[in-house]
Amino acid sequence: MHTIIVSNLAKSFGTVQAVADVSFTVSPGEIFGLLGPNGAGKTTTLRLMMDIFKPDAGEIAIFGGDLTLDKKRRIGYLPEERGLYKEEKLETTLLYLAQLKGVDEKTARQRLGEWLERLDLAEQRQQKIQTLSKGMQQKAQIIATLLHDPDLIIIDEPFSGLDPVNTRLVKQIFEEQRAAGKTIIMSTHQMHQVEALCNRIVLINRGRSVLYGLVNEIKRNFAGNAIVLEGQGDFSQVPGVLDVRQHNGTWEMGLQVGTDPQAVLQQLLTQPDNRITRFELAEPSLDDIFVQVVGRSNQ
Amino acid sequence: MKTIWLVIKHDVAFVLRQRSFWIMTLLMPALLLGSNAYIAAQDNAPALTTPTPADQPAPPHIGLVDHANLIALVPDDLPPHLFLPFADKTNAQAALDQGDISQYVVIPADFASGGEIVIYDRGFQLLSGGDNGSVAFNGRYDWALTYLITANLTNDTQLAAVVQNPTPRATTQFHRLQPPAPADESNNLGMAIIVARVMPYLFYFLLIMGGSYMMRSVVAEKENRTVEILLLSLEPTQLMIGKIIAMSVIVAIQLVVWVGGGMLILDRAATVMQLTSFAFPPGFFVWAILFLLLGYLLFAAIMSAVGALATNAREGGQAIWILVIPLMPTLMFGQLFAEEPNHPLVIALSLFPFSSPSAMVTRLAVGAVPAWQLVVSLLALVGTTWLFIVLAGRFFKSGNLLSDTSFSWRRLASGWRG
Repeated sequence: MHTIIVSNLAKSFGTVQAVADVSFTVSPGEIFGLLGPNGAGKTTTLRLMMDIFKPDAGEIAIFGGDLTLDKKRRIGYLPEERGLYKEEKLETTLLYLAQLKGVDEKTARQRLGEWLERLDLAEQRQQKIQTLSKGMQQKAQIIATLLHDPDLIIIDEPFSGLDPVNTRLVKQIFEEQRAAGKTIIMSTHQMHQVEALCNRIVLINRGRSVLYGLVNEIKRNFAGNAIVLEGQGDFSQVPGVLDVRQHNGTWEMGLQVGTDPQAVLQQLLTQPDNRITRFELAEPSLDDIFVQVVGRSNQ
Repeated sequence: MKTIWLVIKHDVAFVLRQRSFWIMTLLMPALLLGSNAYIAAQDNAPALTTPTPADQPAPPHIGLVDHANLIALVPDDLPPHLFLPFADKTNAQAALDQGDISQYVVIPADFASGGEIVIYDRGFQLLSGGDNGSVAFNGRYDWALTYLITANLTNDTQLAAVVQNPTPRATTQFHRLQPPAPADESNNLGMAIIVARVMPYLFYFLLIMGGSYMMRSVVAEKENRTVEILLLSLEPTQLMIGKIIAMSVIVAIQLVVWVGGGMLILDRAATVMQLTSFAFPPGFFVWAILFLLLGYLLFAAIMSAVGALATNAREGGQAIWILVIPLMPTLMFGQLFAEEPNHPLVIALSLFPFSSPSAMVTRLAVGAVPAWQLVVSLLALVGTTWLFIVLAGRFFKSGNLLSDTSFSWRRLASGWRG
């Protein structure tokens, strides 16, 4: 059963069409990437999903139906702009937010202690939030998102302000949550993080879904007719190859239309002087795909 | 219900941790304490026969022109050189002009028959009235002249001291054996004016403070973006109700500190013994609490709507000053409330729901209010408060709470209309 089903969602504010036609589903145990350029409608889509705004059209089903208050409490939300009481102590704020989610104080205190230790904030628990660094505040916000042990985790730019060590730690935490069967939706502009964490994505541009599916499939679909090759030998004269570029021992070969990469590999292996150590389809990065798709849909 | 309780607990604790709250709350009793201490200091001026301690400031020099040849004896317990004899008024005036003396006293030759003494001073003393023989002498030696004259009339310094203060070691204790008799009408009018002046300010500050705490609390959660998190844990109306109740607790704390602290301090002051004898009408405090509570709820609902529309505290603060205008007439016409509690303007203000919380309570404090007016005023206030709480609920929704659009009266008006 899908945790989230979004169908043909639309929402406008006055004359501005924030979301025009967005559809996707997300299931337990996956990290789903919600991508798009600035102003594409990602945050509005998230707020529609969380019942903060009402859609003009389309349907949303969360945990199998409409979003009730009880279901809302099963959601952990990490907004792009941090939402913490800056003049309050870290512990006070996090306990308050967890209790509002229905966690009793004793349990909340126990879990909080564990999270603070894990994210190296134990010494700061009695400090006012405004005295914490950006990275510490982001980690505090992550704790606020996870402290009530939500089934659906919605994270908007979760790595903002984090150094590489903490980024790795937070990635590991989200991997663990996924492994525990939680549903995670991640909205970010950091494409390498999407490639590392997400198994499926939807790309929204101008309020519409323009790309949707498994990350690997999407990359394969955008791979085009090119191969990457490493090894020893003369790879400049291969039948069916349109152009060849060599860079730091890696060969990139553009294939003629209709040329099967498997046929090229067999051809290369028939040459006794050739030693092939790497052969793969040249996949574009998600970053390249993002730019290409957004550029195309803007035309 | 538990969620609302959590909001109440959190918001009350948050305000109580604010230094500004305690400064505002303790300021009024502190001012009363200060003024009380000043009055007490004035009342505790040296007793008539108290010898002057050596470490006190040097006593003034007062010229003495004795045409009656009365002064032959200068008591030892008078400060030395307090009175300097002069042969005539011309010499004394010259010494006064040169600053050698601060005042001089002329005892006319016919003092024994007329009893008149003339005091000459460099400055004109507006409040002396010219009929007080002990005028000035820098305040500390008011007693000295009468003591000097009595000692010379009786030729006995001990007798003169007894005449000045017959019970030097007596202490006074008051024991109230029965309820105080009703204050006489003239005294009650004076006290009514004071009550009519104080009561609207008390209500004004309580309503304004409570309302602005409400507004600031909503705006703060918009500014720090916590409202987006909160809306995933509770309904907007739960948040609004929690905040309104929390701020009513804050107002109650302020009320207790202001009224309780104020009465505790003032009760000790002699001047306020009269105020405590001022008789509040039966049931006054029940009505006062009822009107204050409803008035608070009315203003809190309005302020919560303003807070939901404002993007920051500055915007909300500007709106508040316009919205509290209905409370102003009660402040301006305090005397009218005391002197003519049934004046048409006073009646109108005490029936109008936006001014009735302070106006009706002030009227109740200073005079009898017809029962029908009390009932009409209360019903109008209940109805208006209920209406505005419902209307405020329209503003307290996600769209407004997450909006970055600036506050405007047009938005407020269109929101009221739905």
